Amino acid sequence: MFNIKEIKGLLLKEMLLEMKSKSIILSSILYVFSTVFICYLSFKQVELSIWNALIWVILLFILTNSANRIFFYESSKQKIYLYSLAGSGSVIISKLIYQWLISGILAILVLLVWSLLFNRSIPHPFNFVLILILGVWAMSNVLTLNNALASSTNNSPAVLAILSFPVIIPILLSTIEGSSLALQTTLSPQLGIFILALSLLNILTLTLSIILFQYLWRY
Amino acid sequence: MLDLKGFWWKITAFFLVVYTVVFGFLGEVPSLPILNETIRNLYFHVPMWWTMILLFLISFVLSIRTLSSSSKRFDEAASEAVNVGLVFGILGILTGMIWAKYTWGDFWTNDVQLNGAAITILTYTAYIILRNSIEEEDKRSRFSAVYNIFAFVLMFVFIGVLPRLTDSLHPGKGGNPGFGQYDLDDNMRFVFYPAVIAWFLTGYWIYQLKLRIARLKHE
Repeated sequence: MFNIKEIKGLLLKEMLLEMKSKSIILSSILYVFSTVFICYLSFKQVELSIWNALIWVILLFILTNSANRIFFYESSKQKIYLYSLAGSGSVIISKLIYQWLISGILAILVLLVWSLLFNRSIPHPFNFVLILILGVWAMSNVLTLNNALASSTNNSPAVLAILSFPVIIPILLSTIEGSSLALQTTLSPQLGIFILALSLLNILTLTLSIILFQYLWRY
Repeated sequence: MLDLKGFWWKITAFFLVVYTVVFGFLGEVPSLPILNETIRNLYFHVPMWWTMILLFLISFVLSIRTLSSSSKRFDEAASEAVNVGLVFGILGILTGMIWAKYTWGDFWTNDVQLNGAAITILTYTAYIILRNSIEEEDKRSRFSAVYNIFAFVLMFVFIGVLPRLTDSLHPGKGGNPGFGQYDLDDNMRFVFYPAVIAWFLTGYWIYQLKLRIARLKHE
């Protein structure tokens, strides 16, 4: 279903395309700065719980925005050519890996700018970042498959949001709960359960994406 | 899906609904604090959800068959099952809201189960929007089947597993005892189980009628 060589080649292709037109990744980064800055200007000072919830809401919108480009480059002719070279598994896995990379970078960037502006120290930075990355990856898995579905409709950005948000809400709720535990000074034993639950959600969404993508990739 | 032949089950459905309504309002119920007479809503609220889940399950199975056989017949049936299931879901939310107003004091409380129900409704509305935004029939049947499978599996995890990790006001969740343990006495059982069967059959009946109308329109 997939092989490493194909995935490597496809990943390289993604990166070259990204380098070729830098405007897309740069616009994502600018999106991060302006959104965080708007929140900073409108909230000025926030409580810990709002600080925690708001970062996830910002991340949700940034990820949805950046997910719009996952299947953006492929015009239908390019798609047919590309897909005759590689299997469905390789295509979806390369897209997923690339999206993990992008979403991981964006998440860390959001966290840095966010904690810089609001000047709040995180008691357990390692656990917080772990939950951040796991949550962002689970969302990326959902967004990637849904983008493959939405990209062939007339109004793909809106359809992507409509399809993904209901499925993402439960992921978001567990990440908000988990990351709020990482912000408390005493380390709660429940934190481990949330990390486990998020890892399982990641595995579940990943397998579903890989299995289901083979039914729609040639359409 | 299986076509139930004959009219015996329709007659059963009719008499069971009549029986449920009559005995639901007139039958003996245990008098409990706070719940009082609102406990009768159990005969209407809970079967609505179960019928919704049954119809979504039917549509999930039909979606798998759509992908494995790529026949449009199954896809049409899957979409009708979702339509009817959504009606039952909305009825479930409405009956639940009235019940919540008289027992918990508010139409909407921030409860996992309630939020899960709202998310389910949102997801299946998204499914309908996805269907309407794809014009090619072949593509529509595949894409909506993929989304249906993806959403159903995640929904199962979110509604079935996650609420058990957090507190809920509903009986049987978050340390609250289930209904069966303390107040579903024998009198109520004699109405509740027929009520479930009655609404299952009625839901299936509506679904079959809708499907037959859709197929006639198609021809």
